[in-house]
Amino acid sequence: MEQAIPQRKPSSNKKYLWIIGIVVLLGWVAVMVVNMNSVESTAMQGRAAPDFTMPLFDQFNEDEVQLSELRGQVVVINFWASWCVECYKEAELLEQTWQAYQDQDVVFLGVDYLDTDKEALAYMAKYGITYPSGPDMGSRISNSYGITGVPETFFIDKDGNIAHVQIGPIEQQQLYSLLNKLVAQPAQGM
Amino acid sequence: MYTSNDSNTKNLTKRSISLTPYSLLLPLLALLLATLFLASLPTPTLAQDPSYDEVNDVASQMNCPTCVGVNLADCRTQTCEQWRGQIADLLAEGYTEQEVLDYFEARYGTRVLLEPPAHGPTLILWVLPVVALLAGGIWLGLIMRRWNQAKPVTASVSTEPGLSASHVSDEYLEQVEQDLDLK
Repeated sequence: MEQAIPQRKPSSNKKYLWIIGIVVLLGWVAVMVVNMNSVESTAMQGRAAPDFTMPLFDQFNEDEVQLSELRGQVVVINFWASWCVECYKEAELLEQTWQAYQDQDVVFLGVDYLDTDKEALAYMAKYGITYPSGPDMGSRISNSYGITGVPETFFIDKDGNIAHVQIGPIEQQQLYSLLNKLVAQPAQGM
Repeated sequence: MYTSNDSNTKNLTKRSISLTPYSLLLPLLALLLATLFLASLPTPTLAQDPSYDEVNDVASQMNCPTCVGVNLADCRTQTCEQWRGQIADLLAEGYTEQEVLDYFEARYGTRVLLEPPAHGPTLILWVLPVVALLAGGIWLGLIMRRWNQAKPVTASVSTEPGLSASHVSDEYLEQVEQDLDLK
């Protein structure tokens, strides 16, 4: 007697599993691509400083500043915020140093991070900040420099490379030492 | 004594009758023109301080700028107070809720928004779950359809070589019946 035994065709579930696996993999790759530029600030040392254009607060004569136009000068980029308590410790020092090194082709730039304009301007008035400062629109500059908080200070040499990254407030001795070294270095690309 | 037939009265009446339609027409026309003119003027908006709830409705859609995983509406730091103050200022200036969120996104980046925007690189965060759900649903549907369409396959059973299937089956069946005391 013949018996009927229900049988399935060899399973093609593997094909669908492959498809789903590929979709998940593509999604993972997409997320990685979105985050692929997130390099921490300390790893930026030695690399070319990412170029940016920053609008300046109203009290400055220029509307904006572009980093690449400062090639040939030593640039100190300080990320700060009015709500940053640690920033208070170095605010006056940075201004004094800017005043002292202005005529030695040293430029200080203040990048205001996640701050409201009203409080930022009050902070600048309180500490007498006169070097070019402006808001980090869209947090694009802080993202490109990979800062992990404030204050963080980047020292750019005359060739446009990040010579030193300072996490946290900087002391006077270290600041002067760094600047003297960078000012003394001739520009190689010029 | 005046009568309607009095010539003066007649004249007066005639004048009244003759003036009424035209005398009303001119003021009505003037009124219409004045109304149209006033309607064309821009309506002045009065600045009003937004309510606590209005500010929080916007703040609840944003993240604390300095904390991790904290909603701006719930945060009690000085920075959050300042940001809520800025939201209030923008609302008082006439910004809509979406315009305020757009302002903060442009000013500080997408990280300040509670939900990533459905445009740009973060669009994939909205699209991918839907695609995965659809793919999973389609896969499930195909699997279930396959189960329902399983076709029976005829198979023959033989325990000894040389014996026909019917003969073996009958013997097997008889043995089963004996074991079960059916005979």
